Amino acid sequence: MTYEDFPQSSGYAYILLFSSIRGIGSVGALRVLNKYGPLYKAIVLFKIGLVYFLGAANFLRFNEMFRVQRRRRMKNLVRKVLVVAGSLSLLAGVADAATIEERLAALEAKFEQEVSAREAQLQKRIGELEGQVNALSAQLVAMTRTPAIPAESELLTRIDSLEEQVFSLEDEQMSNPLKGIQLGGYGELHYNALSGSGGAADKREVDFHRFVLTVGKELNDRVRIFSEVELEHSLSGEGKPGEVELEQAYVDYDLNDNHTARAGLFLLPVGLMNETHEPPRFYGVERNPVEKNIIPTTWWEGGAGLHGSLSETVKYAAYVHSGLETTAADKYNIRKGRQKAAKANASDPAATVALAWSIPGVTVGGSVNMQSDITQGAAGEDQASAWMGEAHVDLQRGPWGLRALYAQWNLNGAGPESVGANRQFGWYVEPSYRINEKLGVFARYNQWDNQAGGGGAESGKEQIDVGINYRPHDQVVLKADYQWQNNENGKDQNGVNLGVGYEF
Amino acid sequence: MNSKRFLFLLAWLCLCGWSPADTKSETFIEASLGQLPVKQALKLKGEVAQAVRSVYGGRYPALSIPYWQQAGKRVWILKARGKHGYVHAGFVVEEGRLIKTEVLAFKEQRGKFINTSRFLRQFTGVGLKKNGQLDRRIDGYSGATLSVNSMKKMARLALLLDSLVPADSD
Repeated sequence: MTYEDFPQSSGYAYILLFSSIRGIGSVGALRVLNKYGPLYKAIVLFKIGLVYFLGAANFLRFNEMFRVQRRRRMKNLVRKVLVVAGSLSLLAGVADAATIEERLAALEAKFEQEVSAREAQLQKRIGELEGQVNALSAQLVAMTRTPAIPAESELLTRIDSLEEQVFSLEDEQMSNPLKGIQLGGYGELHYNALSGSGGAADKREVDFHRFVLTVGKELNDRVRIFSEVELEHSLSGEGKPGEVELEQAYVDYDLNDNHTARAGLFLLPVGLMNETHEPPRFYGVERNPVEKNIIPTTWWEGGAGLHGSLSETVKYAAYVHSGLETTAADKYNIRKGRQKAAKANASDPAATVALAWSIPGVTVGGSVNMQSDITQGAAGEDQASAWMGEAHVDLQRGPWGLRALYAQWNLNGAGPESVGANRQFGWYVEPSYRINEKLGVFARYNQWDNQAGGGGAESGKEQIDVGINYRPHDQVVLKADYQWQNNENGKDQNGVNLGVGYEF
Repeated sequence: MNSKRFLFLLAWLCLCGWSPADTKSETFIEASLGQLPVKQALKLKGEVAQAVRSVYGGRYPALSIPYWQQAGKRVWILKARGKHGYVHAGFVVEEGRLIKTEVLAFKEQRGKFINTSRFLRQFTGVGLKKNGQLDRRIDGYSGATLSVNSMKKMARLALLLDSLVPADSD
């Protein structure tokens, strides 16, 4: 027999019986104890306690056993009730089988319908989610490709670094001797194909006529230096056709906004071309013969003076400088009198004053040069005082242009008069038309005479030029012209000139 | 001419040539707009850089160009090479036309005339043609071609830049 089969009432009875027997035994034992010593009494009391402890343990054991037994019985009872209820339902359902079938079919149809609707809804939702996922993926890819925007602290660090670099560069610049240096220059290559007549020689040559470098520097807000070195005809030296020339080397000191003092070697402010003669700035392959032979362009001297503005429209220049040195042997030819400040004879200084009035598109000006002895101390009757007067106009109104100049030298002395060089003059007029920003055409009539004072010399010269300037860039020019000469002595050179020039 | 007369002439030239300090950019902006607005800038990159190159004739020597705007007017401070270094000038543009032009700084020697009111007046009312040229003739000065060209170049640039500013930047 297991404890599950043990009847509950019997269990309790057993416990009571066991406890009673032990208890009675224990009470009897206590009475006897009074007759013995304490050790024996203690042993007996321990035994009594043990009896009661075992009794309690048995009680708990049997109580648990009974509880499990009760639950099992309750489960069996529920099972039985359910079986009875199910049987009753089954019996009731058999009677109504047909109705149930129909309802089942209807429920199935409804179920199918519901499932289809749910499925469609789910598909739609899935589609929407797919779209959202794709869009987010695209954004993620784009963000990955886009460079990350640096943090503000990083930007500040970079700015600080750049500032340091800028300060460092500024320091370097301040101590850089090349700071403020201005380089410039121009050059021109000519091809002349001229046919001589009346005893004049043919001319077929290519010549790099001028190669010029300029260097300037602003030393401070008021002081500037400027210099220009020129190599003419490519090759210089003993027996060579060209020469190296220092044409400008001066210091400018600004007295104020309108007036500047100048000292050194400089171009004289005479005529239209003497100061401004970069190839893109004038028509014709060669410079006009009037300014070349009468002014004489290019004319530079060493000296000092002032230049600036007297008003918004009036510009002036006034210099004292070294002078020309003409000789009887050269028939007092002005151009041959240029000393170029090369150990120049300075026995007799010269002075030049120039004025120009300008408004946009119009410049009218003139200059006067004076020299008390243009021979620089020649003996006796060869001496000659001289002065030159020149007037010019430069119009550029829209596409139309007009340049004209008259210049004349007067040499007072028996020597010049004897060869007719006491009067030397020339003039030209040059209309032009600019077809567009790049292409312009011109014509020029020139007349000049270096022995116009009489004496019977056939010295008068005349030249007509027509041509074009093409500027592919503002500072580059291609030129072509044709020249006709009609000189009094019959020695003419007619033909074509081609050229290319630049400035920077 | 004796030395006393020469010294007298020198002193007279110094006095009659006295003039106030050069007009600076900020003064020009304040005078043109009534106050100094917040400085803005047009970055020279992409199509803007290409367009600038076409009227300027090369790369402009900066990565962006500052401008100030107020009440439909924009002020542009620009620079271009003349004969002796950069010419700095200010331009005020309103409705696609220049209404004020001023030279702010320059070192031109032969081209000093570009700083005269008679020359600068020519720019007033000038606009830009589709081919990038000014729609009015600007006459120059004999011997000052490069200085005059620098001013024309900057005028074209100011008008072009003004047309390139985004409409929503007002």
